Amino acid sequence: MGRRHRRSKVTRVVNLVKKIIAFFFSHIGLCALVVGYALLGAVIFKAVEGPHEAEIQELVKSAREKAVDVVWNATFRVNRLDSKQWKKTVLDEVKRFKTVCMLSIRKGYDGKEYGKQAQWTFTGAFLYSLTVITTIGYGNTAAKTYIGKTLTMLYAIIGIPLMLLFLTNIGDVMAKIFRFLYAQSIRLKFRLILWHKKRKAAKIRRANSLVSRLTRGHRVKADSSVDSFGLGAGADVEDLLTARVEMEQLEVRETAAAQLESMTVPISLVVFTMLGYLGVGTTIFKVWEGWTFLESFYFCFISLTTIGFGDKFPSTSVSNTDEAQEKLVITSIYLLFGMALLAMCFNLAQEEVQNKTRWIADKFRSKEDDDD
Amino acid sequence: MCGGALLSSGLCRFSELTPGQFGLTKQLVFRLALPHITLLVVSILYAVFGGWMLTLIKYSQQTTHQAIMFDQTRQNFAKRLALIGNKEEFESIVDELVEKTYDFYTMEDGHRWQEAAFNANPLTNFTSNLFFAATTLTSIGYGIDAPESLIGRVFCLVYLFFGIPLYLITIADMAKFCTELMNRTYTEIIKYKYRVKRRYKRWKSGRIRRESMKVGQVIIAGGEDEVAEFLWTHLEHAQFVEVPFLLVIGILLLYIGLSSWIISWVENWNMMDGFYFVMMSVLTIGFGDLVPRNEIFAVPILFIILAGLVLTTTCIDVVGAYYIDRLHFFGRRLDDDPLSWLKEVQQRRIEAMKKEAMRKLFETVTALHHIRLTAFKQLTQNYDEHLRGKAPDPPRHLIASHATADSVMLRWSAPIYVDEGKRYWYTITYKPRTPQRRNNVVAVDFINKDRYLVTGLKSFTLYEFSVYVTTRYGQSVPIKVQEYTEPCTVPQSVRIDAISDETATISWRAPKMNNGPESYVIQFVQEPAPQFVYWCKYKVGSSTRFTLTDLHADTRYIICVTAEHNHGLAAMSKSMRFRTKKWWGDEDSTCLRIPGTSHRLSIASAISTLTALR
Repeated sequence: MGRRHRRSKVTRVVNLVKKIIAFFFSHIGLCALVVGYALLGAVIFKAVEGPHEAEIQELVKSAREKAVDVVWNATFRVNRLDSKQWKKTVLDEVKRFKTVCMLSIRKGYDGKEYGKQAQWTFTGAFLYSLTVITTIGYGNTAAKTYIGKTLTMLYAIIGIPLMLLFLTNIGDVMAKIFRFLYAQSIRLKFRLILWHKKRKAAKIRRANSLVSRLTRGHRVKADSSVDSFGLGAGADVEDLLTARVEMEQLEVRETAAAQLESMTVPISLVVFTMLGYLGVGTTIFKVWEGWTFLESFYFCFISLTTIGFGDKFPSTSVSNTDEAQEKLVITSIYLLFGMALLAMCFNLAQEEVQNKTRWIADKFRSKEDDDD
Repeated sequence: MCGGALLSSGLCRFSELTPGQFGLTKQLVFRLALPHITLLVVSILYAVFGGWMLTLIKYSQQTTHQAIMFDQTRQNFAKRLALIGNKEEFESIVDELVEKTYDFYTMEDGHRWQEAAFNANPLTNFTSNLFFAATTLTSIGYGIDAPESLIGRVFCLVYLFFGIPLYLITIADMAKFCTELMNRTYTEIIKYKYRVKRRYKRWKSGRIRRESMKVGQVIIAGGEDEVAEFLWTHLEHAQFVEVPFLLVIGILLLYIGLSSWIISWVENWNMMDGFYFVMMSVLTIGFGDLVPRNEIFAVPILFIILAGLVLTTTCIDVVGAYYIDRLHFFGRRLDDDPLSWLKEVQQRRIEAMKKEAMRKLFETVTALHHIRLTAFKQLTQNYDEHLRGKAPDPPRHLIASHATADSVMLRWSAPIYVDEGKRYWYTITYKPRTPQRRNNVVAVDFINKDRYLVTGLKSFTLYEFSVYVTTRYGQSVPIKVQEYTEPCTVPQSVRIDAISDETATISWRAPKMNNGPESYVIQFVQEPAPQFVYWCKYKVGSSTRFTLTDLHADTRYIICVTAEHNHGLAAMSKSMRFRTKKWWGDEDSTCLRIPGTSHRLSIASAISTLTALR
């Protein structure tokens, strides 16, 4: 009794764990997992890199104050009439300050004003986490401490497969939706064509009935055999017209069935979708950041292909204001779904290219067979 | 016991190879390797082309070296210091210096920054541009040396639009090659280990015997069907060999460590920074905070990074795909059967075999039908020849008469033509025609006369009699006749002995079996016969002969004889039909009258037709 009870409890626990894992690796669970992972990264990197940034800024500030005092004292104490000695003193102090600045930059000084602008805010850390797991890697914000670098590597090793899994699933779902919409558009187009041809057929049938009525009235008046031959000719013409219209409808249905069966989205449509998405992003960043059209397009393209130069970067997204956080959320959503859309487009284009290649190979093979 | 090893994770789908074939022909190698080599060469040329184009674009930009600018900035700073009047202005000048120092530092590495290393010819920047192009195509994208002009950026967009798919395909192709190479190497190691172990075991046990099992049947090439067939045949000896994930990950980490050490030594970084750089590059993140600046070793470092990228893709191909697929279907498919893939392939093969068997069966049936038709045709020709050459003619005019309860008299005529000198005889076969019983055919041979009394028959049964002409060379076609035997309780052999114009004499025999003393009743009537109650009856007594009188001349009569027992009438005998003779005076006038009547009628019909036509 106790043994069976324990086994049942163990089985129940195992089933519960399986259900939890299945949920997390379904579509909604994957989205939640990616967002949660990015938020976790934001918290960690802010805690690790924030104090280091403040320390470096304080060091540069103190060095700057020291340099200012030394140069000022040299100007007032030493007689400025002896310009050679004064210039030597000033240049030596400037060189020493430059050395301190370079060492600070080496340690992570980013040139921002002390205390006024901080790079490692929560939003900045969140964007950093997102660029790590999506392998974009702008580089404007980068970890400087050894602990930060180690955590970045571990974070990337765990996060990049997770992001690949997310992109694969979302890409599959989007590809299915895209194919479904494309099939619906094909059906709608062919339904319109069929409706047009049916109306044409009805018009022809009405004309045929009118001609029949006229011919019948004419035959009632005259009884000669020549009219019967004419009646036969008219009937043949009517049958030919009706058969032609029916044949056209049948051809349209067969064409629609063939296209729906093949179900390969053309490359032009895929490229148009991709460029449309880039156009939307271009418009958004142009309005926000004040860039030109080419610069916005450049930024969107470099980001969505996960290259991430970092020479163009949405700088207003990393401050702590509410407007900046809203922009950050929109930028994140744009990047995530843009990458999934790009993966979907690449998959569909790959399928189309494979079909074209196979078709060409079959054509060459059939040509060789004909030659043999 | 390891009889064979199979790699399930890294099967290559080369359909040209047969299972177990290791040697590749020269033509096969050329055909298989040509697409991959072409793809690799095109990728390299594309990167070189990008490097040259970027070099040309940047040369037109007339970029000045940053060192001179920085030095000029410092000189300007010193000059402006001499003109200041108060401390606030001095602080702003120092802030400006700090910002420019930071900008220049991010473009040049601080530790290796040398003002004297200024190059007058911008075309020597091809190496850095090649480095930039290659790392951008693989979507690492450090960002250093990114073009800033309009032409440069437009070129980058077009260049990457076509280059990124090319490089994705190339890296995936090389990763598959590495996967296959790793699988084959590991399989060879496993085979060698098993062979050494077996040899040691045999040496230790002191027995030297022949190898009963052949080690090393490895199936890598071939489609799923060949692999499934091999496995199904040697399922008890086969062993799945998968490269362990820890081994693959270990190789990857070893490579990363080695390349980190090399790059750190070349670029004078510390080990931690080198490891960080290689890891970020291999994962295609590419922050760009650490970038190699040594121009002499730029191209080797580039190849190290690209090889690491291929190795990472291999690791994902071997390990990641398996785990991703497993985790994706974790909670949905409960039972994980390792041979489910094999069973599916076997099921498909079984269905294909069924279709093939049906097709072969159809072909066999068609062939047999054709053969049978041909044989039948030949047989028919042979039969015709036999009949035309040798078969004798049949007898003629077979008549069965005098049927009694157990005997029938057969009578026939001789055949038309039989070869002179050849002796022949007649053969009679007969059998009852009763449907419910088994019909035994009885044959009577060597009959020389043209008549025969068949005896031993059953009463009241329909018999079929056949008569053949038989010679030494064969039998003729039979002629047949059917006849009923009479019931055993009726008078036998009813016969008309004499007929005149008004009298008829009938005679018969006694029945075979009787229930007591009998008397006979003759019943007769003119044709067509009315109901039986209206027939004329004569009680004859025990005599078997009687003469009817007062008959009409030239009239048809039907007559039968009935045996009367103590309890009433029994069954009648067969009815006999006869016609009385004509009266002697009317014979000639009847012959003269009939043709004239016919002639008159035909003339009348002709006249009526002409009237209708008119």
